[in-house]
Amino acid sequence: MSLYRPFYNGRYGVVDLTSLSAYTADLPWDACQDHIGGAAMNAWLLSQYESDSLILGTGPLTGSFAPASALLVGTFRSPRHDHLCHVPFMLRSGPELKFSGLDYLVIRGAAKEPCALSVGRGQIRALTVPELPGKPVPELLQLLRRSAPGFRASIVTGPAADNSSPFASASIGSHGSFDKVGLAARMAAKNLKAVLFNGIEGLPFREDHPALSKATEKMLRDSGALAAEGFVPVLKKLADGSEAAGALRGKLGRNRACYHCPCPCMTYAAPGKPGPEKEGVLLMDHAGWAALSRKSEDALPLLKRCLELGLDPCAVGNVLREDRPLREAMNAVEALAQAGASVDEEDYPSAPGIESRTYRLFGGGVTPLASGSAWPDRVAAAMLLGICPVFMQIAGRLDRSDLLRFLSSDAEEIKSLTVRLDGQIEMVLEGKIPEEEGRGTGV
Amino acid sequence: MEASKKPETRYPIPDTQLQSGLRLEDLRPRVPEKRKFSDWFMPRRNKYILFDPAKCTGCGTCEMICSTRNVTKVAPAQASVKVLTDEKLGKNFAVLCQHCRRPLCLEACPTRAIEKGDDGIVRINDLFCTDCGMCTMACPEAAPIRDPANQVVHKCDLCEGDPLCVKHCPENALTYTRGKALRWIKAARWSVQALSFLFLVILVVGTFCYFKAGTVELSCPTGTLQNIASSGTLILVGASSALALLILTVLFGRVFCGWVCPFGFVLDLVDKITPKRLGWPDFLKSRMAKYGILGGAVGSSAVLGYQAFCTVCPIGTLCRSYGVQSVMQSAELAIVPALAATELVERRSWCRYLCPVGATLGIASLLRLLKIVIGARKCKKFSCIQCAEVCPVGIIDAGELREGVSPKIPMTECIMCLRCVDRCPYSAAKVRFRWQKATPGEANT
Repeated sequence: MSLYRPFYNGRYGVVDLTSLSAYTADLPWDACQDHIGGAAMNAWLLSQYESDSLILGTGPLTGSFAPASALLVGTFRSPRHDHLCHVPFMLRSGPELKFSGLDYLVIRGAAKEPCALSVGRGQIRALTVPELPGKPVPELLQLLRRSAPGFRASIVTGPAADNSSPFASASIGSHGSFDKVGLAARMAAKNLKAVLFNGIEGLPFREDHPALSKATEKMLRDSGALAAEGFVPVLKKLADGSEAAGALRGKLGRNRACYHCPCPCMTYAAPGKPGPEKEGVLLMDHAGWAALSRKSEDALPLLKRCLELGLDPCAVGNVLREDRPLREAMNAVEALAQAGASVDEEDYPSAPGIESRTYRLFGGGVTPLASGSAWPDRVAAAMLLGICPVFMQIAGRLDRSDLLRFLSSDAEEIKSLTVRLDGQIEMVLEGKIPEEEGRGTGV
Repeated sequence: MEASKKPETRYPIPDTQLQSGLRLEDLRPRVPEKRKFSDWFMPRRNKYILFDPAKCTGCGTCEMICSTRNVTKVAPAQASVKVLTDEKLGKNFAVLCQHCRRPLCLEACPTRAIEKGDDGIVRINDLFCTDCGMCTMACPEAAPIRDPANQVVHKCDLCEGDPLCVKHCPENALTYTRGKALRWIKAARWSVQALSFLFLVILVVGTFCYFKAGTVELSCPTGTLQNIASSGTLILVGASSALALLILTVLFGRVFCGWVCPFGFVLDLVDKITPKRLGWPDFLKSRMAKYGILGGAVGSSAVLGYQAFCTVCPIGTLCRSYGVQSVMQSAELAIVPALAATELVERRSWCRYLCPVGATLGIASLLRLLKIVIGARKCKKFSCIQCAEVCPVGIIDAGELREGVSPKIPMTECIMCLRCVDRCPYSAAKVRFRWQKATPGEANT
């Protein structure tokens, strides 16, 4: 029996949008044994289907008692530079896919009409909703709630993707995401507006997992890794973070954490005077906020508009001239959400101290907290196991073996798992698709 | 041959009923609430889970760990606790059972499957539960949660006294507690009441009605009003002596009623030994009646030429008749127990509907400096309603709280006993200056 069996439902779904048909199949355990899960397993699944397919997948630890087990990985070939990319989605998206009864979702073909996919109870349902395109993300979510009530997590695209803007960004609910490499454009090409997850099932757990989770959290707390909670402390660790943090003074609300994460790195903020009844936005994208606040004092309303349009705030930060009045800046945002907008590809998206290719490999938005080789190493490990890559960097004391203890309690097995994980990290960082020969035939 | 013995059952059913069909009462008779003698003096405060929204990050660990007990899987949707997130306002909120003192779910359950144990935990008895979902509708907190996968109802049972969610919450947003009652307010109030009673009733007779020590003169404002009406002259010294209580009321509200009044103390003592109240019919519940009695007392004094009401005033009677130095005046003596008996029907009935002294102070409290606000951002609302339960004059609307609305407190009726402030586990009930602006979520009074 596969070591990973208890951590997966053992089913994956394949949707053909061209014919709006779907089926589910048993997870190929041999491949799962080799590739562990997450980004590597996604890449393997992509190798089995057409190159324009989009794979959404989870890691073995997603949804488990491992800390910050919130990850969903979206793997695809970026339409912008034709490289393989793995975009991380956090909050509750990963666990919700897993609790919906499927571990991976393969999305093939392109629909004739705008559609949404609803995943729940091990089944996939395609919804054709013609009025979806052009709607700002919050409105779109309201429309979707009418068509598919009760969904618990979603990945959607906004008007920017409908307009074929190259800077469209897929969004987790209305909160944005780390997608800066064209996952939204891939979804738009498929006429896919949203993927909705309704995870009402569950997964078994090992008896010692709750205690192990508590012990890991205590170890991290004692080491001081979780001392600074919220968006701003994480932001301040970035190169130009202190200045960007200053723009948020007096605007911050409560912190928000992803699924089972002991270190909230997101914070709500409201434009203008802070007030409990004031509508705000969830600050999630540290790099995006840094780029926006560098250029404008009105970064918060601009960010809000970016999230409504499903637009990457980093791109807006790149094109915006400094100290432009809010109305002009808003016009620039609107223009960027249209087709034909362009930004210097050399600078976008990039992070100081990290090789551009590697940074783009993981969506181009994962907060660059670790430096040197530590960033790709830790992010790749997180993307394989199903842990939030930002948490993996914040929790510097967290070793791979600390996480692998959730997979096995046997010391020898942990050693062999570490070796296998190292191999898979190398493979993922190369950015290659494992087996090209079987392409298009399915598993 | 020995006749076969009928097996003993816990609830023997008469043969006639077996013929006519069983009733729910026969199968699941209501268990009357057990109340110990000590509960009358110091009601039990059972432990419950206190949620602090300011600390919650919405990580959902409580749902995870709770589901492992409910369905032995990690399945947040099947937990007995639910984390709700307001995406626009950025608020996280955990919905969990408050184990109310008088649970509405228990009343609503058609099969009486919900029971409240001696330990204060409200449980669903799976043997009798039909998963009809009536409890989910009855609970203002929507704490019994229907499991969307299996269509059964889950409800928090506090993990039988050792809640897992509290242990595993990474932000310590959940606390297993008996509440954050200040308690010192209660102790201070009872002490002041006892000392006032000792001073006004036992030690110095008649001090409430009129007191003179050297140049200091103090008198009952209602008595002074009657005095002016009966004599037809305004005696400045007498009027000014009544001002002390009125100034106290302007400064602090009707603290005399809540903290000093000896008859109020008697009523609070009677309240402690009252097992169950019947309540007045609605047509008798008029808080304006006391203003009518005040008008009547002043008017009758003017007509009769003497302070007519003072002869039957329970506060004055208590002070005059029960002193060590006084001879027990049997006729007046009967007034106090007779009016104290109204406490058996409704708490502080005298103060709510009849007391003209309270009416006078109520008018003075229109100029009050202080107010009480409930429903600040911290208020749990919906199912807690402990403030409404402890209010002796019943001016906090439990219905409004259950609807999530901050109740408006009529300060002319409030006796400033501060029970609500003392009891609120979320520190949502507060004393403020009347000019202080209400924060969002608070009602202006």
